[in-house]
Amino acid sequence: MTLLALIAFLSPSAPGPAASHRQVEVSLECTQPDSVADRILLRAQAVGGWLSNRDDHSVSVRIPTDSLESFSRWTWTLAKRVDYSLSVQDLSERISDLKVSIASRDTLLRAYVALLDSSNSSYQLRDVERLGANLAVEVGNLRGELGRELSRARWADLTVRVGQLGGPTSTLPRPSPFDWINQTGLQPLRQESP
Amino acid sequence: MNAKFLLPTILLCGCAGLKAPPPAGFASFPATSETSVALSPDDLVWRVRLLEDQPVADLAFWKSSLRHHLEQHGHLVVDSFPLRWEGLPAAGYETRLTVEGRESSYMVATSPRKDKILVAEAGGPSSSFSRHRSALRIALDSVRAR
Repeated sequence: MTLLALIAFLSPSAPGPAASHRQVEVSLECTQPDSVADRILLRAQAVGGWLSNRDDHSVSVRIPTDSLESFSRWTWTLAKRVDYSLSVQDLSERISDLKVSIASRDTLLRAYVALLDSSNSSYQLRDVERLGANLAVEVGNLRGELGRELSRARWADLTVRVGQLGGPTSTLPRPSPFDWINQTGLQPLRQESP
Repeated sequence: MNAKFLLPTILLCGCAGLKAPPPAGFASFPATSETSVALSPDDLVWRVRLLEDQPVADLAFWKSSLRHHLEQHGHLVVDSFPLRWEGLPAAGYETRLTVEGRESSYMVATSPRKDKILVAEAGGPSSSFSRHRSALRIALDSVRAR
């Protein structure tokens, strides 16, 4: 298969917008933070996730990206939500680049192997063997990197900070310093409706 | 055209201020030069406003501030989209959030204009929002402010 054919072969499978790493941070306040953190952990395990960090004030879990939105929403039902943020890192371009890099090196590697099969010159063979070995290592590294990026796309990070309701760390969303933004949002909009 | 007809024609056109036709299927309240409000039969609200832009800032600044504000207030940003109003760049978000146990959707777009800022919003129950999304996006594209 030629390089162009390989690229063409890989392109349709290039990941779309779904290939992104998502991180959500939620801050909750409740009367029993430990109990809430326990429930979050149990549910994470139920959806196939696992604990990545836990301390007195927060629990971090890694869960399937597909479950992130519903999981985040579920946490809001556990306690009073005081903060929420979502960050999305697009991985599709990186994954696509890695696939193309691997494909082009594979093609070159196959060309080296064909040369080894057909060449009679021992000097030439030594050079080709050395180049081929280096290329094989490079392909291995790229495959490892690709695997890590695909894994990051499959798994999302959710950190839930759980504070004591009314406690010293209690924080409520503050109004924006900009007047017009405070009048913007679903609640102010619905007040417009008679 | 006779001058005595010209002035009322200009006033009726609403050439100064806001021009924001309501989305198809919405009923509008009398618009002013700075606000236009319309309602759908199924509980959606559409509102376009021309507001004081204080401090004066560019689109990137307001886009970022608006997103921060929405997320601080429990909105889950599900879409971020660029658009153009009269050739000028504007930025929009679509969000979801739960209000009194009911899934709600909200759409907002904004564009700074010298010392003013143009803001268009729509929101209400997600079930109604889905039905009107196309009409809302068409109406959003039609917003004008001079």
